[in-house]
Amino acid sequence: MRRAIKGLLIKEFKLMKINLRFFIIIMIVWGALMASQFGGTFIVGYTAMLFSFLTVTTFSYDEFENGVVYLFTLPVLRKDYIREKYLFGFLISTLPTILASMMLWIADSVWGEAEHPGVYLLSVVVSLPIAYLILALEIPLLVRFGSEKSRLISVSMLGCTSIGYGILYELTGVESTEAVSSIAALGTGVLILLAVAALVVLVMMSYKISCRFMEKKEF
Amino acid sequence: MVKLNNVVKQYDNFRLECSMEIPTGQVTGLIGRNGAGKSTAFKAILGLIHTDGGTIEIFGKDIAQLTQADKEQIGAVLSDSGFCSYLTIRDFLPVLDTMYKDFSREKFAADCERMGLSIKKKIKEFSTGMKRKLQILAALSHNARLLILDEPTAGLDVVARDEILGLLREYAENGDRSIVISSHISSDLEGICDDVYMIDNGKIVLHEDTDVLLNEYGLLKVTKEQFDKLDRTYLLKTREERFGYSCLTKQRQFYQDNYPSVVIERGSIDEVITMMTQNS
Repeated sequence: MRRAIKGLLIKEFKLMKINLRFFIIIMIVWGALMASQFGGTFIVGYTAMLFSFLTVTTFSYDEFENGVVYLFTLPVLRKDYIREKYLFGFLISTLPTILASMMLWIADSVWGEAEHPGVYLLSVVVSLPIAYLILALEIPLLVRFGSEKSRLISVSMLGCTSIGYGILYELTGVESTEAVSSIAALGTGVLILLAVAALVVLVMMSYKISCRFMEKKEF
Repeated sequence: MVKLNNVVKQYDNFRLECSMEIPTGQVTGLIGRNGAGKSTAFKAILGLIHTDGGTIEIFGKDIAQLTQADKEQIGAVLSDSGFCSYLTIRDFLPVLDTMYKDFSREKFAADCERMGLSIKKKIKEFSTGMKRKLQILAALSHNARLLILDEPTAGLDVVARDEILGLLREYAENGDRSIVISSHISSDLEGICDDVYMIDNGKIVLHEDTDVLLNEYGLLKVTKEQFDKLDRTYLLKTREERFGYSCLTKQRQFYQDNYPSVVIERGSIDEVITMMTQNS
């Protein structure tokens, strides 16, 4: 790994340490609340989403008092900065998600009735792509617009998607369940392959766009 | 070491047009009023902004071609940014250690403590001067060949300023290193720089060796009658005053020899900048 990327990763983890206690309390309280409603595996998906959003906070820290400008006076190339953000995003959503799934399995085994291990694995396999998708959408926005504006844009995008879906449903009368079942007819193997391929393409596109935004950026 | 060749940066209300050269083994000062373009020039050298024309070379390479190894040879202090202040110096030690091959954790931590910077405190608890000291120590910590220092002494008290200038002088003694430094405190530059560039409204209006500036430049204070009789061949700038005129010259000795009755002050960066950056 390039030294600049490694150095930046160390910085992110040091920053993460500051809010870790607060973050874990929130996670436990809110997670327990939601898990009681939606079942234990919910906590796995919840962990993936929550930790993927930590990448957003690292951008906020970098923006504070122009810290990002200082980073570029260190031996950090613009591409290194982008690569590190993706790497951090993937690491920080993947590792805790796997850990949460393992802890859930252990907790179920000790205090309740554990499901088949495949169920826990499946919860990880389903949750992580969603977390990666969030990262792929968020990072280019964060690079281009900064953490404040991109937060607004993300919320607006979410709203627009819901409205768009509503309009589409009104016009075509196609419900999501029908669409899903027609896609499901393709078969599980093909579907997984398609999903993985789509995700890889999306992440690569997201990375390229972020690099382009960063190259154009002025400090 | 650094070469700016007809560099142009256009903003809505400001245009930088600048050529400069910082030779190896030299300390070069960049002086000018607030908003003259010093920070823009520094940001251009560091590749933090995109220029609209001209070329910038560091270590003989276009700045777009600089590698991580090249950037390791540069230490920088910028006036409007610094370490993430939510962290402590102790948090930053492994970051710098990882990024720079030639960095010693122990020495840097010891230097910080010696300068009164606690490595356990969050940087946001530091005063402006302390933050500046930290940036300077970090820039000096990895044996860089080139230091780019934008207002490094701003916010420092007299003792700390002397200490920092001492460190910079010591650093520059190694002949392979170059420093480009800006400061609004001209005495800082007079004591450390081999040459100075004066920038005004985005343009370099003067480039001179510091020794020449201090020894050969002078400010003539003349009455209207004296001014009428004065040979103006060697006058660079003239300013009307209540008593007559102040005139900047690069040939102080000539006027001392030929006009013994005229009051002539020795050149100083402050006088030169005041004269050069105002409309005559």
